[in-house]
Amino acid sequence: MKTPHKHSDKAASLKPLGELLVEKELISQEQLQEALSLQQESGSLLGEIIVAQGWIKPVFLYQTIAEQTELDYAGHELEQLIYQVDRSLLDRFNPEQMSRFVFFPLKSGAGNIEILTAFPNDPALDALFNEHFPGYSIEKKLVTPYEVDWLVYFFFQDAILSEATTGLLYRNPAESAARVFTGQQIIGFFVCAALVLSWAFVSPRFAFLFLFTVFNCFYFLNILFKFVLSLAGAGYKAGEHISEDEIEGLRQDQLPVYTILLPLYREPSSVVQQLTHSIQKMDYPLEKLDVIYLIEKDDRETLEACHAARPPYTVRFLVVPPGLPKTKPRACNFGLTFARGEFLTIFDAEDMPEPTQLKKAVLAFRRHSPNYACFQAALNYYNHSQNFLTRLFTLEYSYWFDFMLPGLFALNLPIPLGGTSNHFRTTVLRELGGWDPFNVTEDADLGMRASYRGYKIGVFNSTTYEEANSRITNWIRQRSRWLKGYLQTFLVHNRRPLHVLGASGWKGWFTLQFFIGGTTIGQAASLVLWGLFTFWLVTRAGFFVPHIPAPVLYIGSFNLFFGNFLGIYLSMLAVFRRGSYSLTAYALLNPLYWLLASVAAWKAVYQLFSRPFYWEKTDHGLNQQGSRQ
Amino acid sequence: MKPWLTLLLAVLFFCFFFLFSTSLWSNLLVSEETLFLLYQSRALTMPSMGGAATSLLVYPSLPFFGTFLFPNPVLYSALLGAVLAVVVILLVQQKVTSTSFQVLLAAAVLFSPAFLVDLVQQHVNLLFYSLLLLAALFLLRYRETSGVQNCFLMGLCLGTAVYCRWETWWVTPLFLLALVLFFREEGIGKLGSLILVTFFPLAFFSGVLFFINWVSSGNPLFFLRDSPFSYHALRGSPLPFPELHMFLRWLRSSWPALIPFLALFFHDRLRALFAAGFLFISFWVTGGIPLDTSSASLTLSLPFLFPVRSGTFFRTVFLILLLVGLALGWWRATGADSPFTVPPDQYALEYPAGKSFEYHSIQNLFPDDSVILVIDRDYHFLATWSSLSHIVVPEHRLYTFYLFNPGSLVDYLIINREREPPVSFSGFSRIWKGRFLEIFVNEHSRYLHVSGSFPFPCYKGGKYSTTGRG
Repeated sequence: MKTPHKHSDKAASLKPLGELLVEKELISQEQLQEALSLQQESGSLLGEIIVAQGWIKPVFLYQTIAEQTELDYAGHELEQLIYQVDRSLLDRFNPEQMSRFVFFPLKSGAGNIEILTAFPNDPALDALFNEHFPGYSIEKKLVTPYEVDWLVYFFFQDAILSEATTGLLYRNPAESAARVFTGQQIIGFFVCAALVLSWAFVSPRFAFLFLFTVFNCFYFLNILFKFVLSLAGAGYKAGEHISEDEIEGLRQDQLPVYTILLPLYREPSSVVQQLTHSIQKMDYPLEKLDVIYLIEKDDRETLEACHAARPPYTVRFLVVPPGLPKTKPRACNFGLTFARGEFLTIFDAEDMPEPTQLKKAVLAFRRHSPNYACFQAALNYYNHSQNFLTRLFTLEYSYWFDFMLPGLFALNLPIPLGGTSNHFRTTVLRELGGWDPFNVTEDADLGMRASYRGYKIGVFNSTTYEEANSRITNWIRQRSRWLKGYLQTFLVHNRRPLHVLGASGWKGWFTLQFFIGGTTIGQAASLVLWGLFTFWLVTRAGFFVPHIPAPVLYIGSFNLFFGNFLGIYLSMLAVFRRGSYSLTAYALLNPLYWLLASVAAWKAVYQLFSRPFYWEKTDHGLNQQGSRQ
Repeated sequence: MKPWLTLLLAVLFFCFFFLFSTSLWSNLLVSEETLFLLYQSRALTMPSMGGAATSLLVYPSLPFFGTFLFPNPVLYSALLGAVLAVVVILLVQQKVTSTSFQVLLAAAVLFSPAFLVDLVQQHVNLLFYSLLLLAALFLLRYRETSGVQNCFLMGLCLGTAVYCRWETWWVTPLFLLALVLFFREEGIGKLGSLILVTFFPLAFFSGVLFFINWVSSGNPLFFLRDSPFSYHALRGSPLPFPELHMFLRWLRSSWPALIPFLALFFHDRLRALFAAGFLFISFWVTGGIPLDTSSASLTLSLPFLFPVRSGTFFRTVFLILLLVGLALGWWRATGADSPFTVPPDQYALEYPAGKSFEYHSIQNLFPDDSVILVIDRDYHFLATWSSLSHIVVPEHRLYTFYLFNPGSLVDYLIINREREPPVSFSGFSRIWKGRFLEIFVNEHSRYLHVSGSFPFPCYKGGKYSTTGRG
């Protein structure tokens, strides 16, 4: 997967690859013509195009190239070659370099190095060796890119896994959620709890009033913050707007290689089929797609489903070795090592991204300075009309991704990334240390971490359609994981509040408190506050109402009425903007949904203490619709 | 406009409105509703009056909270005026390209007598119509740009308007009609959703109003009928179907204010012509506004509804009408029977302004710590009194206790002349009689012996005099 480069004189004098392949009847003349036509558009290597189109297996291509270039094809003898590998030579390179330049160093002699590569004519590869071994001659043998992966995997899997799991923890323990609470946080928590409890013992009414006031003030600021965000987001055309004309005007040969990571775990075969279909539908040159299916070692069913789906040859399967914590970010970190693209994105198994999404992301990156580490696409649901829960879930998602995140973008605030469809500059992602495998909302954490390191996150006008959870238990599992992850992120970044303040200013600090902390705390508290309100409404017990000071009463009333109004109205507007008119009336039922979210929030709080790194797997494939209309 | 210039303009307008407001307030040229809100904001948070929870019942709620936050009415008017001035200037800037025309149009609105008088005397109306006009503006903007933030703001403005005037509901047919006309071709799904999006805030905020009233009294319509904390209820109708009667009464006085909303249905040039003609009428009609009209909205509607694209001819016509109308307006405003010129004592003969004047005129004549029992439903006229702490009004927690034990608890009684007191007051003697009020003193009061005489102004034959007891 290289951009076009000049062939050597020797190679240029050889018979063209296309003709060789036709002669060997590996492809037809029509296929060759079509491949040449595609090559003119995309500027990719002919062999890559032919393989990506699925007309030929990579091994046959490379055997043919070996004949053409008179290089040895070493793919058949890998199992013998591994015994010849010079470990000291191997240590001079890291696995990321090997994956990126698609080579594997085999052994070195006096002034000579023997390597295996899929791109023997790549000048970047030659430059790399000239830099590391000036004056050495390089002897190259051909292998397919998949065989390079196999070698890297074979020799480095432990190191890669170790880096994927504990890399961030060892490099920067303050940014890792491996430790849930720091000593200071535990002391602070116990001191506050002791103070409130002892106060409650002495004067329960005033202690109650104090807590009531604190929660209401927090809610009040949270509502104001989200109101401002929504207003900014509503007027911002859902973030960075890439027009159809711009996409049309994009030249294929200027498109870079794009890596797509697809972490899969216990996915039904129908979901894998759908995913493969979505990948093939992407409006992006297939040969420039670097798709990696990340499959856990113990998940044989998904691996078989992936094989059965017969994805294009541009898709690589990567088996993530077993280990703990068994989380999506750990798998993604593992896959990151093998990424070859200039840009990288993640999709979930059930995702159906808009076909033009990758092109839009490329345009968004080009429009902005290299300081932009990531662009987030909107997420929405294709099965919104399946049942009551999916409708309300769609309302919430529309509000979040169409109003809130664009609002953060418009106001230049840190953006906690959402689930999938976040498009990164691969180099920056590596520099940031990838995802935190101990954080169960690693994406939100990464967004905040990037912001605090001076990078910016953008949003753009493309949507990935996912499957909305249609079962309440499954929904609570998923939601509790998200909220637990938000709590982890809140705790991690509040370990050094002054650092956050210095790195991102007041605005960034408030975003952390209200957007990350406020979401979970607010949802957990809402059940209590609704309970109190209902109790008061039914009994009209006046034991606390007359004693509430005027400002607190006004703030509480504002929260109760305006807060609920805002939540309902903004989600109504969000689906209205999306054109999902059948959903607008369902916004009125949002309070029921919030109660459900509150239950999940309490479960998240409980799990933060009991099973902080446990990844509550969301079952996919529950939708009855099958696919988006 | 640059932020510092906006701020500077806001400060300048604030100063101007502050001075203007001070001059009208010094003559007590304010509406009864303003006094009502001022009284509620001062008195309701006192523990003896029910505390903070009761203040949620005050209606109109939105202006009440403004008054609550800024208890100085002059300051409040000036602030509201400064905010509106900035809104008007920004709107004019967006709609008109010529700088001279921008200045003239903005000045014509902000210095028109209708706007100035309403700002001080009828800021509830001004706020109400400003919100409705903003809703209309956002509807037009949504139509032009399809930006959903306009829907959001339209709904919010329309919804919060119900906290100024419940009559907002009567304006909804105009908006509904506009929605149907504008978006009828976009499918029933979108139209239905748009109607929901437009009117949901109004329904929700009305629901909150009903809920609060239901919780406190068991009657969701308490604020329209019986609530002592609602100005609407205070001046409501005793007839059957009082809401209908009140609506008709409101329509009779406010129908001209609804006309700008008809401009919604016109396009560009027609709307400009409509606005121009309307401007002229508004200046003519509102030059000598009485206090219960809401004509300032006519003037205020100009920058809201003025179309962006309007030709030179229309601008010229508009300009001429503007200048002539403004001159006529000021000529009428400074003529006879105008709120700018009517002397307070003449003005005070009218009810309720007269009653307000009567309350105001007696305030300094009671000793500071005397206990005064007020037997009058219009006790909100006490708003201008410097201290309310020793005054017992019908909403006082211990009012009944004071009412039935006046001899031992009360120094003075202020009684509405028009209604029989519910109990007889032996041991009290009348010391003053006005046109609307009577004052009695406790014969055993310590103050009777200290003060000796009561040089109160008394109402005699259409005039007030300070020559002796009534």
